[in-house]
Amino acid sequence: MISNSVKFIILFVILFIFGFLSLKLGSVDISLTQVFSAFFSDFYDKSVAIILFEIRLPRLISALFAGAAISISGLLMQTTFQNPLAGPYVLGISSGAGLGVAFVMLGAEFFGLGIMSLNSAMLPIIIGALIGSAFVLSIVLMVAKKVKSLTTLLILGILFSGAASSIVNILQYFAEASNVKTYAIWSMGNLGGISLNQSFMFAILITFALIFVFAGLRNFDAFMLGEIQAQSLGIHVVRTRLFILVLAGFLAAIVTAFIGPIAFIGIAVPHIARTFFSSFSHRIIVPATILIGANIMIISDIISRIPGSIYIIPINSITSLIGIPIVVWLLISKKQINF
Amino acid sequence: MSSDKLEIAAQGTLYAKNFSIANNSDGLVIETNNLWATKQNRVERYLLTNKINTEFNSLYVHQIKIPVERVVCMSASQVAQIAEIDNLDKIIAVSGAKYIYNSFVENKVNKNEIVDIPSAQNFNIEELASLQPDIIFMYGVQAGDLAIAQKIRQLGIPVVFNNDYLESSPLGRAEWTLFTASFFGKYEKAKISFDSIVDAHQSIKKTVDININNRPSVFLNIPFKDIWYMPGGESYFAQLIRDAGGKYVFTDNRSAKSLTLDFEYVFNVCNQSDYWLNIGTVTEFNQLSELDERMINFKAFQTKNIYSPVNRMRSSGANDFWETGVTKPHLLLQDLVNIFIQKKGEFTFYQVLQ
Repeated sequence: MISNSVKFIILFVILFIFGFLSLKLGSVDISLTQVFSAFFSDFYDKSVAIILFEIRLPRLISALFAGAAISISGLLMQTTFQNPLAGPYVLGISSGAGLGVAFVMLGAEFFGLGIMSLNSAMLPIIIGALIGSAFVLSIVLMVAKKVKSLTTLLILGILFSGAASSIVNILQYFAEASNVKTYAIWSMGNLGGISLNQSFMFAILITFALIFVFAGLRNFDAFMLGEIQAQSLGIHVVRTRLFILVLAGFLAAIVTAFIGPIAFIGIAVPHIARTFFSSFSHRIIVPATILIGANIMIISDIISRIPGSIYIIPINSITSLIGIPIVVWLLISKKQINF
Repeated sequence: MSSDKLEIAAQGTLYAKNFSIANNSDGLVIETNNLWATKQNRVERYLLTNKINTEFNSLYVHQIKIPVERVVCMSASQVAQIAEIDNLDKIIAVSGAKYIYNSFVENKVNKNEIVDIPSAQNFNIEELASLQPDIIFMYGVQAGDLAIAQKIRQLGIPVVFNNDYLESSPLGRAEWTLFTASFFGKYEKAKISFDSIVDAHQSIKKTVDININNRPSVFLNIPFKDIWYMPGGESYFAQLIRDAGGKYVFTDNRSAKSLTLDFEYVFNVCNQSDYWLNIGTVTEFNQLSELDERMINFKAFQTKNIYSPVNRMRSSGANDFWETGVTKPHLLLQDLVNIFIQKKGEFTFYQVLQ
């Protein structure tokens, strides 16, 4: 029986190895010597340094923090709703972000606004995604205050997603083909569009939210026992639920804003963490989810770049192809998914 | 006249590969190669005649009475082709009016004398029928477009597919003016105009005689995140660059289609290239770096050798590059020669990034 400490060390080692491979592998062949020279020597190839520091490093940082954030968002959703299939999409927050981005990219046609030239710029996309997700999140929170049933809240989330998709469909219907294509590319997720500065900003925002996650660990465990037990332990159930929803929503919104929607990682990773560590304690599962999420995202990114090839595959296809078999395997091997 | 066996007296185009024109005792026979359609539906035949033969009934040949008087255009290049033969007054509707640069059409649209209709996929069939057009010039991009055409044809409205965008040669694309002109009975007029365009194009080309190793290197477009769509080495624009004395970075590629490339790969191949063209609607260097700050690492950015065809572009996005640029490619070629070889700042379509 491997102890949890050893398991964490294994995850850190894997993270280090694949993090390094993420810098080493790509469309352009860069040798180990070139990598080390760029980092530690004054004599380096300038274009290699640009590829490493302005293309691959921001990508690695984005993958690491996006994987961690979207997985934790999924874990928080599963904890709140005590539902194994809950994930960042479940409350319509990702769909809300998608709607905000659709307004930026496709709204010019529909509303006759002069924002055509902005449709591929990073900042309006981030702002659009944040406004869209904040809008949906604020509706969810208002409803959550009044509705006690978690199932009702879940159903409302699905309805919000449906409404957002319908509006996006209308915008696409009227939009120019090239803008529809840009939106389609965005909706496939993309780790390579972030500059080094933006990746640092992304990392800081995620870290900020994760600090709150760690601060709430005790409450999350109590929540798993059910709302009545949590209340008996002195936890304010409604306030804690809102706190978790805001955190989960914020993480999903930030990732969607910077990277685009990321499929299946949010649902699959918490289950992998629970299975690997055979634990339901959030003190174990939260750091485990962060590490496993980051690892899977980095590995997915390496695969999506098809090392040595000049082409790339959308990251969302890879995360789905990795995430779905894992959930299927869990279903078959454990007969049921616990949460 | 038998239904499907049309005797052809003469046929052929000089540069275009996706249509042919031939004389027949009953009229003009035009064949289009619809590369976007399924294999069995790829070839469409149109019989252009002054007098409709009511006994003529064929699933494979569409009989069209010419000259047409009321036409619907689905693309900006079709408008430019009609402008070449001075028949713009025959246009009764266009799709995406705000993207049409031609000022005659723009004025007519503003006065509601030309109707702005949605794209083919979003056709309002009732509205289309009420316009009573003699013909609709469509363009196809997918097999389903043929089904849309069939539906319109059932209303008795002839539909023809103008596939000019499929041509990978600039003169081939310009030659589609002959296709469009034929429906107006203006083939001869268009032929005279086209021949002069060919002469002008060839004479500009002759002024550029540079060894491939001494040519300035050129790359195109801007990425969205880490995906960079780059025209293949056999594409329309690759050919223009070659004719203008430039060396397209992906010239060894054998495809006429667009390549979907990783940003990192493009950066590695193009970061020392001399010229960077076609960066969308961006007109200033700081806009480009705001869009993606990695752009400043390209040599062309640092040496300020970035050009875009925005000289004749309106704020609506309408751009004469897609109209006159298609029918008169020699003007486009001259712009590129001015950029690469003559270092002149006079352009029809292009503008240097400010």
